[in-house]
Amino acid sequence: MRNRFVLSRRAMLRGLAGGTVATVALPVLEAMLDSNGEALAGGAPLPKRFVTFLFGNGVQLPRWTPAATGSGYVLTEQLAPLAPVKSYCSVLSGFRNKIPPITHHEGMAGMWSGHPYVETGGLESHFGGPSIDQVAADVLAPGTPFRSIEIGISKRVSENEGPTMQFLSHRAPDQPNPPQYNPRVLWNTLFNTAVAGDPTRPHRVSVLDAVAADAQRLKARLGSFDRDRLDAHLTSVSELQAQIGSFGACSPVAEPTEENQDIGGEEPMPAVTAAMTALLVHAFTCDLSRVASYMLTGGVGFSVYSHLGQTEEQHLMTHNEPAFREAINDGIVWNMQQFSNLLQALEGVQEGASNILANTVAVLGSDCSEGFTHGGFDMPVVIAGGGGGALVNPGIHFRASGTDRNLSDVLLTALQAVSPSITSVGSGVGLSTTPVTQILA
Amino acid sequence: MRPRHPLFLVLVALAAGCSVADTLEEPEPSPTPEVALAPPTMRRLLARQYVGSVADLLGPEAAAAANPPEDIAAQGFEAIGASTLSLSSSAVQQYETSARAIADAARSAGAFDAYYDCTPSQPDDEACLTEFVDAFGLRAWRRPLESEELDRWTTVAMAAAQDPELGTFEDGLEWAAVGMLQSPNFLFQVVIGKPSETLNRRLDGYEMATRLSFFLNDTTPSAELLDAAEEGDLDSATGVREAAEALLESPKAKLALRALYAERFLVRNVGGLQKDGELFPFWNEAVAASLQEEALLLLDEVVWTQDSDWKGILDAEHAWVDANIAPIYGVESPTVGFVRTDLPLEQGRAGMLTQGATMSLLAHPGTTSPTRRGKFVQERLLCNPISPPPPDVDTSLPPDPPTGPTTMREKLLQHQEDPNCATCHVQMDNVGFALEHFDAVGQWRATDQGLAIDDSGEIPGLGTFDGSRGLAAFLKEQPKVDRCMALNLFRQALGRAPTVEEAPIVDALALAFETNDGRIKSFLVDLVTSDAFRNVGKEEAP
Repeated sequence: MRNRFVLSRRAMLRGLAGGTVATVALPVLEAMLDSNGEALAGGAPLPKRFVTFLFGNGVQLPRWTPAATGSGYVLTEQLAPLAPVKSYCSVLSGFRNKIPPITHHEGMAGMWSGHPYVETGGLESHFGGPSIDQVAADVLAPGTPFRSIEIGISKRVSENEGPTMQFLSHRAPDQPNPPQYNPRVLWNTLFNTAVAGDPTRPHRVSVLDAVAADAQRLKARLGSFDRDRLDAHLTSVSELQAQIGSFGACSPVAEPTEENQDIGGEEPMPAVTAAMTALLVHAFTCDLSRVASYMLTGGVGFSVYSHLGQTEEQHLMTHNEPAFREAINDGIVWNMQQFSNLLQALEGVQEGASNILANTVAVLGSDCSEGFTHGGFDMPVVIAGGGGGALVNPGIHFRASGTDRNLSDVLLTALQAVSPSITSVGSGVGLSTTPVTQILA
Repeated sequence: MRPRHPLFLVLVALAAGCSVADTLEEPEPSPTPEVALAPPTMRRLLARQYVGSVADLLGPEAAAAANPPEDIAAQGFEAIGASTLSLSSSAVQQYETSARAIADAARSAGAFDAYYDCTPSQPDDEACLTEFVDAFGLRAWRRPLESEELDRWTTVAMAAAQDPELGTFEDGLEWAAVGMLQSPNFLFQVVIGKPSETLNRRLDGYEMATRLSFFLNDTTPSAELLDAAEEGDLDSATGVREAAEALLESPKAKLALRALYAERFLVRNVGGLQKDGELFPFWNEAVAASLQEEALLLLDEVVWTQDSDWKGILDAEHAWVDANIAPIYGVESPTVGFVRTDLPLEQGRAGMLTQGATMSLLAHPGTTSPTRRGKFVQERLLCNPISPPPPDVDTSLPPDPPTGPTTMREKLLQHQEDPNCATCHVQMDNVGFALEHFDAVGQWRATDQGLAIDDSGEIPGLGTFDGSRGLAAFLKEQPKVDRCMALNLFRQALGRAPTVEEAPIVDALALAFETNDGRIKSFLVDLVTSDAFRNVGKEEAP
């Protein structure tokens, strides 16, 4: 493997020993590009970004799946919001989630990890392996202050069925990454963790050294289960030290005022989505992180789309499909508009001769094909972005033949667009070693 | 088999000429043969325990600045999530931010003064900083520091006190506190136990004080309880019993029980509910908050005021009503606060089973959900698991036929004609049918869409009942209801589900409800004096 992005690391990780303050103008990567704008000075390629994007409870397949395959496919009613970025979008259909079901859990596990979930009793489970954003982070994150960013919009998520249903990102089976729902808090985390010129910074870092020493001492006395948990803790502590050491490389965007509080019992989803998307794009622009998970609504779909004039939760509506057919469609189209807004914003940031979207792999999916059947066949998937040249452009509609092609093949495809070094994903019945080569350039 | 009075033991010990301390380690007969318990795991302080600890350690200003990451449930319990999940990077980051805010507020409030008596001769007065680290460490980490730890954190304090840009004695205190509040020794309850030749290890006094205090009071042990631990007072069942009874006298015990009740019975989720604004225009955050408080006031009354059978929560015919929720119950609004109010008998109110909180939670924004209500009774009151629906089955409820509207019951019964759905749905819907007189916010209704309501219900395999009162009476007679409560409290107390081998321990604990007339307080004392609470298993050899 090439020596990736050495310059950025040097630029970002300063101050651990009380280094000097320097501010680099935006976009941060500009300063590090070679004269052609196609790679970093020193020859390393531009960094790739990886995003997973979830909305709960599936789509309506007849209004989702394009009729034609190949690059000439026509956007359907529910895919229509992708029009401005269609050349960056491939639609994948006809894949089967192989994970055995317990209603929506298999959808979360199969769509986002490829590992069978681990049942912990009743309707309760946690992931069986890392989610794909974390697999991508293993490759992409080193050298950036934040390994990954977890964003949540609707707070109406399942909290009673275990981490599988509550979270999109999982670093390990027993280590979910909860999303941040409050844009102001996320802003503080990303842009205010370390303030230039603050004399307490060295103490914050050395305090964490002592915390790590405490953890090491405990490790020697505890069983293997807790030793693993303390190792995870130690890793996070050293990541935090790197975050505290990095500052000044990016001018922060203005602090958002949005806090994602209900107004009259209704969620301000449009305002929160706009604020979160802006923060994420800025974080990518500044290379604060290269990996994100974006949970627009949770699995199952307990959200109410009040801003569309709706009063009933999306999940219940899909169980009364005939009566709510149009309202369900409205919600799905709105979801897709939010995904498209993110893609368009990434396309709008120039990076060298190209733009961030061209260097991004974004995976859109849900926890079932259609809400009213909890189906595991024909899961709705879009893989978007140029993948730094790894994904076909213009995008295509690829439909798997038969009814048994593994959904994990889609996950592997996205990961291979990040790095060909990733040769398999998932495990057990969810294992894949066979990407969808048709959408890889 | 009550433990003997300590005075008796002392007299025996004196007579025998052996040391009192040795003899107080009475070999206590257990009701069941010794079972190999599960090995312990570190338990992260729940968010409320973290804040409560900060309040006790450093005062209200510091507690107001505390902002720990949110709890995550596993196996249905945040207490189990706390003992099984690893922290995310964002959680570690949040602890750091929180610790700095706490220490800053504590410094401003002079809260560090309680932990040293010395007068610093200079900013980096090492002896004086050491005194602080030693005293603060004992309280914050709930055990004495070892010399290596004392050195480590004194070094941190010295570095801040010597920094030319900081450089005061208070900076030394502050940065030691910033770090010690991020240490796993603060963030986690750690149990190692005493060396032992038998199947299990007994908790040492400090570990016992910690486990007791966090379970019964949701906060760090007091200085007095740590003193008792040091004295060996918690090494006997009698000592544990006395300590537990004292903790149960604290107002914090009431709050701790409220917190676990609100989690287990979902009451705390009422605030996040969205209701159909056309059907329920009066619904707002204040109403939701009052419904939540009402539910907890009944808990307070039954457990603490009356100290009576907890199952009174399941069949109370009265409610604690304020002006926000009086209309839901169709009673007159009190002028001030919550008032214990008898409800119209014809409504058939039955405590938790028909409270506005429960009924709102177990419903959709506009319509009732016998399915969710039945699932709640099965899973949370009877501890009966429900299987998930099979895949690729059309779960849509049938629409109203052209002939006119149908009741929710009729719709669900039609749904049950699909044998794929029926197996599980009869286990839920048919229980929830008994509550069909209560709409999606808990108002009593005579009819459903203008049609008569059939509120007969059944729990297949257990029996049948009519309406909410019938369901309440039925549940009160089910031994499984007490056992389920015992199981829930076991899980909360230990941060884990019992193993298969431990099931008889839960059975034995559940029997205590029979002999103590269903009183929670008495049960809690039995629980914390049990071997399962006082001992831990050993890690299997690798």
